[in-house]
Amino acid sequence: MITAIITAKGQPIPTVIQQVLGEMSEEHTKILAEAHKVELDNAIDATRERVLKPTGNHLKDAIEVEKLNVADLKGYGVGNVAELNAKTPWWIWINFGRALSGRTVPIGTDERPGLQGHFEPNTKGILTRSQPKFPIFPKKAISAHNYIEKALGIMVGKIRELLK
Amino acid sequence: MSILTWAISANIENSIIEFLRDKVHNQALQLLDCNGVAQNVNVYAGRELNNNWNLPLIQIYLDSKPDVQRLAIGSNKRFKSWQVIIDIRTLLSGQESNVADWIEDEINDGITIYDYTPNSINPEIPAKVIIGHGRVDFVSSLPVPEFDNADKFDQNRYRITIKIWMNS
Repeated sequence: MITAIITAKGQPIPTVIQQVLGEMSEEHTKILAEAHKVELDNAIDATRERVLKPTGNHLKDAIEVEKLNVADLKGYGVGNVAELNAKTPWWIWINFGRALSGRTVPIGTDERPGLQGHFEPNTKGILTRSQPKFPIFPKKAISAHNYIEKALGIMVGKIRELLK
Repeated sequence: MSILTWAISANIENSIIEFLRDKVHNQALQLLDCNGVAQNVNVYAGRELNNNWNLPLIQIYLDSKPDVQRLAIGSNKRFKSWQVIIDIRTLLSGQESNVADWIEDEINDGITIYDYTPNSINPEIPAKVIIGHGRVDFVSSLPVPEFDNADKFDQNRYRITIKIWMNS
């Protein structure tokens, strides 16, 4: 790639180069962050075990590309941990197989008596808390989906292609 | 009729497990528990944590295959990678990072990949032949975030993600 740098009269070349490089780096981190977000979404969908719930917060929506501008740190990040902890704290459970509370098996009616409902048979449906209402006693731990690592693994191979 | 036994993914997964088990065994690698008693480091296979496993442990499993590029235009040969998760779980804080450093040093130069054939007489020792060398790329290496009321398996946990590369 050939880049022409046109400077205002009187501006020293190193200053201009520094500015141009800064803008390019910021643009590159934006490209990578947006591509990374796509891969995270793909990894979440690819390992989804049940249908998307119709209401409430979704992990995919909570993972956002965010512009960083703190002191000398400029660029873009993906997935603000504080935001994820607040909106979709199960992000950690799905990835590592362990909730922030330390729990591995979802809560059941024995621990929360009001928790009753049904699953649509044969459709991988989510728990629906309407009639018919049955008690539920989950026994299987949520296994690690590793969507963070899956996305990273793909991004490592894509970086060179993305920054051509 | 042909019975499909272990294909390349299972071969790679088991080759890493066998490699690390041999290293642990040959070096008699141990870690101290809270009473100062040396405990053997165990290497287990599988994504699901088994409550019968003994700490300290190294848990290994194949997670995904992120790369399947063609080696050349018009060729059906692929340059593939196999992504493997290595979860380290220890008894005492800080040990997980030490084990991670040890693993990274041991696998840095890659590992020999074997093709395994089931052995009905002695299932624990399958027959094997070398099929190549797997190069290792490190994708991630960091402590797993702490959990509020984590059980013993999650109090001191570290995760390494690697890619194994082979021509096939």
